[in-house]
Amino acid sequence: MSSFALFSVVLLYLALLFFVAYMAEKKKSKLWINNPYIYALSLAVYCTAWTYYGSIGVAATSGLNYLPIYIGPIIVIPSWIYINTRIVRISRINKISSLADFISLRYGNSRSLSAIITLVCLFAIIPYIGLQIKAISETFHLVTETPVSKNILTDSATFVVLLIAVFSSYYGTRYVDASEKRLGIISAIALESFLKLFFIIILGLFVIYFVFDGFSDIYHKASRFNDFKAKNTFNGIEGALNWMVLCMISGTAICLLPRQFHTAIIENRQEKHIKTAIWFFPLYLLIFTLFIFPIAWAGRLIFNGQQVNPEFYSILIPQHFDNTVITVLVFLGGLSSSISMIIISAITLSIMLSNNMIIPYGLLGKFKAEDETQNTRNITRIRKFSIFGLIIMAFAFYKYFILKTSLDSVGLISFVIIAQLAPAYFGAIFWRRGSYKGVLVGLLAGLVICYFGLIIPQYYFSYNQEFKGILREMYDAFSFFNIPYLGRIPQIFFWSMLVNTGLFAGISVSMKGNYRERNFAELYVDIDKYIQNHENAFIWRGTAYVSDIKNILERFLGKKKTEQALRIFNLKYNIDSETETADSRFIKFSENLLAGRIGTASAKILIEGVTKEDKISLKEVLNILEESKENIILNKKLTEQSQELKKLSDDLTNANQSLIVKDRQKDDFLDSVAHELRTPITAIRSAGEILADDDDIPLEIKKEFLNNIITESDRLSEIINDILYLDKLEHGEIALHIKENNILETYKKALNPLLHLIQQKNIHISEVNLLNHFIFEYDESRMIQLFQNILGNALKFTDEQGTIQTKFFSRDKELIITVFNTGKHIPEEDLKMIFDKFYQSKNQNILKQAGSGLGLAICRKIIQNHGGTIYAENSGLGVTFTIRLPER
Amino acid sequence: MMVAFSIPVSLLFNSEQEVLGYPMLLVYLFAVWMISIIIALVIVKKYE
Amino acid sequence: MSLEYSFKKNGYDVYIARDGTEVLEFLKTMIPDVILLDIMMPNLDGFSTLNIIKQDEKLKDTKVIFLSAKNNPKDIEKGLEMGADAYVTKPYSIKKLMQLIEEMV
Repeated sequence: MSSFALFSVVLLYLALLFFVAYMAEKKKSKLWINNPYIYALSLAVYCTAWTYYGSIGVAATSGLNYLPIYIGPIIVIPSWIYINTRIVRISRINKISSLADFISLRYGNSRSLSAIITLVCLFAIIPYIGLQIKAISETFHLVTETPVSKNILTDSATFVVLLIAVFSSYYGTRYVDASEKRLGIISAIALESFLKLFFIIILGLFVIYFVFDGFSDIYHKASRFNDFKAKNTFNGIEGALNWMVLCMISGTAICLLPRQFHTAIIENRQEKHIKTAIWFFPLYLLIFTLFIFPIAWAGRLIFNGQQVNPEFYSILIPQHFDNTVITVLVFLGGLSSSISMIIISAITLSIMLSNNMIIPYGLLGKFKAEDETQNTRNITRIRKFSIFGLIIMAFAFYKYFILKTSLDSVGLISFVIIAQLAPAYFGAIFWRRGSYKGVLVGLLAGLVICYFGLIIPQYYFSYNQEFKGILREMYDAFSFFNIPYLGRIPQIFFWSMLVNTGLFAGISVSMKGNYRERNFAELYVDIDKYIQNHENAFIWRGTAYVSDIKNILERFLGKKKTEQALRIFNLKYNIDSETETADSRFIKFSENLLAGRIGTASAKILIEGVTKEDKISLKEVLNILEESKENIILNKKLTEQSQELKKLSDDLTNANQSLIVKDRQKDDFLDSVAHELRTPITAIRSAGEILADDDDIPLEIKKEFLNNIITESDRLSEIINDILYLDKLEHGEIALHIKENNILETYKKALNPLLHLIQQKNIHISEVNLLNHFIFEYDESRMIQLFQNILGNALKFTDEQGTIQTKFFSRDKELIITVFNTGKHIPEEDLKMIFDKFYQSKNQNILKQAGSGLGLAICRKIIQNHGGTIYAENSGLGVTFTIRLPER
Repeated sequence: MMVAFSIPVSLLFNSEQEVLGYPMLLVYLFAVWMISIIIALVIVKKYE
Repeated sequence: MSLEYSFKKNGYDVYIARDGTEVLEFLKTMIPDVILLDIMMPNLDGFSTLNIIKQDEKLKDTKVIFLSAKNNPKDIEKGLEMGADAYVTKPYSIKKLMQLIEEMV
């Protein structure tokens, strides 16, 4: 394929990336932003050209050894659901913008520490970037079958690199504030992760099913190799041990690599995305590595005997079969993996560089004097240049240093160097006593060991030189420390980590840190406790004025944003906006705001510049922290208690309300009872009074009065009895004796005593029986009462010579009895209420009602106790009462 | 719980040495890998 | 009934209405000297009836006495406020009632 053609393909591809980034930025659609798969895919930036090409090389030459790079991560990743969630929280609250910020903030927000960490990252990652460029360049030339040009300017790979640098510096610096997420870039990265996997699957399928006849075919052919068995097992304890250490190395790398920290922590939008990542990402890695194996062995088989670089089997195989499409696809896949690494690493390194080295060590003075727009522009410009500069540096590195080294070893060395940050990193979130001095000494010691153990030999070996002179003696002296079995890299990893961690722990324990460190230690380790008001947890004493600090804030955030932030702050802590002095909360708040823009170290320096801090002793701080911790716990308890109390008081209020209502109902009831009782009493008294005073009453009238007294007394008695009875019914004091009874007989029993009265009024009474069985379960005495009340009621309201008809039938498992009587209709609105106690309709036309007025209420209660219902309705010439009794 | 995940996994790996002539080791590794993904998926779903 | 007997014995003319509306019917055709008004009556209760009575010019000399089993102080107050001339609670003494009326009329 011609250089030009391939170059155009590359251009198209980059255009695609630009387009995706542009659309993502423009649309900012919710679907995209909240998608956990974008997050999970962006983590796959871990798979760089090393994975794409290097691993295949390793698989072909030393078998299983390509796996630990991936097994390490999948062992570590499940713990992310706990660890990373916390780190994300800490970073969000403190507006962390890079790995260096995260670590240095914890250990006292020291500028020097952040600078050192930045240097470590630069040192480790720039060669790694160079590696990617090497891969791009070499594969480019492989595909186009041109030799690598000695002249940089005519080398097409150079232009590719330049284009990538432009892309990164444009989209990577759109947002200055750490809290703003770079949606465009991340979307592009996610796309690349997808594509590189997709293309390797295509290649894999091609190799397995087209070139060979399936997986087992490759397997059988490959197993004929002499070293097949050896390559696919551990080489005794030695092999297994090396393997284990390699896993540990890659396990730390997945957490500490700046690009991983950036995608996993800084670009994280929602904590719950982490949940998706912990299964999605290992799955991704699984699929990737699954295809590496057959491709590697296929390469061995196809190119057996030829002197070919196994790292590029993935390109060479399709090329061998003249399949240009797949060759180009593989190339693009490799390009994707390289580009994503370069972009993210360049961005995060530039942030570190600008925040921790360039700005604090030179430009703060300048920034203090400028306004917001100017400052923002300057920061962006610095970062843009950094990105460019870094990539160029990496390019130079590639050209002059690593021409002869394998992708594999450079990558591993890079991992080991970055692993030196591990004690500080993990110590930051788990160990309160970790101190700045401990970190510093441990880190430096580890780096020294790396330098002498890895860098120098690498340098020498790549130029095939021997150790000379002093160095030789030194190495001989140190050979005492040589652990048998371990390869060089695992060896150095082991020793450097041991010394690093040991010194870190030892020094931290023996020397007390300063109070600022201790403060942040609390914030980090107990992030969940402080998450709501972390400003409160920041301990600071001294003099500071709001106006001074406001001034600084405006220079970086602009007037509007500063005002807004201040308003929120004042609201949160209920502070008067006229306050002139700033307290510790405000200091922390302002530092946070600034840190988002220029990093924590510079933020601290700026604020320090306008405030005067008093010295506090560590002891005091520890006391305050203890107090505030207790306060937080107490506060929580108090809140819980007050909520319980509130619930209790709500319950009490409700109970009270219902009691009041019941009370009122009782009063009303008593009122109506008294009223009902007074009427007959009045009549009795009046009659009695007359009889007593009047001597010459005519005999008939006398008899009338006396009978009146008797009647009214009876009535009175009836009322009293009914009241008591109803009360008992309602309170369940009357036990129901439910037995099987014959409903018709019960009815007859009830009807008998009333027959006399019915005949007196000339009322015609009849029954209609539609039942096929007569036995039902109920309490007979109650039922008799019910019938008598209903019949008595019907009797009262039926006109002379009227009709009462009772019907018995059964429907839907219910016994239904209707009692119909001719007479006046009951007004609609009263149909329900006649069953209430003492109900007297406004429209009743009977002034004096015989009976107690409780009859229907008693009926209702009785039938309710049986689980049935009773209701009345107007029908035709009269009124029908319906009683329904469910059959058991 | 999640951290405990890693220890048994790595211990398991350790016990597997040159026992099998075939790259059954390979198969084994990938199988464990696959299972750990499934377990992670299940646990995550349960949490939700 | 006892009231009717007693009043008649003492020479009064007695008319009986069953509820508030009947009272008003009566009042269309005559002006009584005293109205003994129950409160709890169907159709139109005592208070409403009193209201209407009070609005009638012709009846301004008629004495209205509430006769009710409701002996709640509030009701008594209400009745008197509305302009009843007296409020007698049941049970009552016929003798005392007659004395009251004689004083009023």
